[in-house]
Amino acid sequence: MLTAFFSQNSRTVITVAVLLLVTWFGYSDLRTAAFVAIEPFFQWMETTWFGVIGKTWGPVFAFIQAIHLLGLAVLGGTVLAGDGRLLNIVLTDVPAKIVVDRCHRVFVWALIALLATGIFMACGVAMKIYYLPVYWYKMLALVAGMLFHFYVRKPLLNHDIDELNPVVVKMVAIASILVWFLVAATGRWIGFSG
Amino acid sequence: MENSRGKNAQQRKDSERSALLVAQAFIVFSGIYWFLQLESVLELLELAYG
Amino acid sequence: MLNEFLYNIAVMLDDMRLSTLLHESYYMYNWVESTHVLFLMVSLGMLFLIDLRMLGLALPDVPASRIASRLTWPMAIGFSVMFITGILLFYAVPVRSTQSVWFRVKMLLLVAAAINAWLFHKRMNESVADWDNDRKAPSHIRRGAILSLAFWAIIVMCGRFIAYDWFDCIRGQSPFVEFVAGCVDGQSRF
Repeated sequence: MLTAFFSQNSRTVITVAVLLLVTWFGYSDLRTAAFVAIEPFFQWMETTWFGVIGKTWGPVFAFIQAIHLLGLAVLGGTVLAGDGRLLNIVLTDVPAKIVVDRCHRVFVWALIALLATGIFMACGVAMKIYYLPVYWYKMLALVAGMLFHFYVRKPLLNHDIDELNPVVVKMVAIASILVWFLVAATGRWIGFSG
Repeated sequence: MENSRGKNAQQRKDSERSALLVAQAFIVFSGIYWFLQLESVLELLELAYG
Repeated sequence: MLNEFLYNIAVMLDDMRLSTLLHESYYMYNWVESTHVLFLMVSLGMLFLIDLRMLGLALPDVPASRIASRLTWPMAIGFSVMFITGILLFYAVPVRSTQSVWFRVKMLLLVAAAINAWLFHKRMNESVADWDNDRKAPSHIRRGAILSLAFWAIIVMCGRFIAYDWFDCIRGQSPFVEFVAGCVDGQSRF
């Protein structure tokens, strides 16, 4: 009975479990303990090649920042085009499935570029960002955005979009735009802080 | 045939439910986050200019 | 002569109360700059999708003319917001921006990118019926797309570099940099 329920609703059950787990973690003492435990890792990041280059070669750091911004532009474009189509705002005369699928491919490349340049930048200012709340907001939004995109949005849109509940599709599109803009906004705010 | 269609419909419902849950959570969180951000700016402006 | 004129205009802007308020306001300046960066996702995001479509790297099975025409409006909205916030950012720090090497290169490239965009659309509209459904656009259109990507990549880099003070007049520069940055002899504002 329970197995049958789980197998029929596995995605929903796992989603609820993750949401509850994150909420519990946010309010538990474990969060503080994890924050303290992870400090040596951030100290180590600054000693890596990326960290040393990022700290000592300002122009290289600035160059990588620019690449990061370009990746962000591509990612933003794919999110807005894909989700804009789901909201019936852009490319309304192209089948939604095609727009969403093709945008997803470019999205993955942009995300890889963002993660690679982001890791480099984080190494250069590891101890600064460690103490910045906005950096942790960004990480939360980024991880949430990636999980949402690959575990929730993509499997949902793999179904025939015309058969899906239009309200759910539109809410997913709005949530996707919001979460990626939050990632970008909190990322920019890191530069203003500290 | 009938069985696989039923399974597909079940999977679709499952995907829709999980998507709805997360989308709701994100929209509510974003609403609160941006409201607090704007409020903190307004508070500072009020402190500065009355 | 031109540099002195530009410097005097910048000083005049710098004397305005609103410029000082914007510059010294921690939140407002940052919000304007964040908006400038966030709308990069709207404007350049759309532009890059159009350029990548021409190169066959994005949405290759959607007609090129459709991608270009449908994404132009969101792109234009994005550029409008970037233009307004860009002016505000310049207005907040007018002297330093006027004498920034990166800002000057960025402005020149913006003009070049605009001319390239005009030529690109003109050439595309002339011949798009022949290759609309092809995965890749013809070579002369692809060249335009590559140029557009290159111009905007360098524009974004210059925009990012403006924040750094490597070539600021206040630091005392080589004659070449002073010439390019338009530093003015005996200037009192930086």
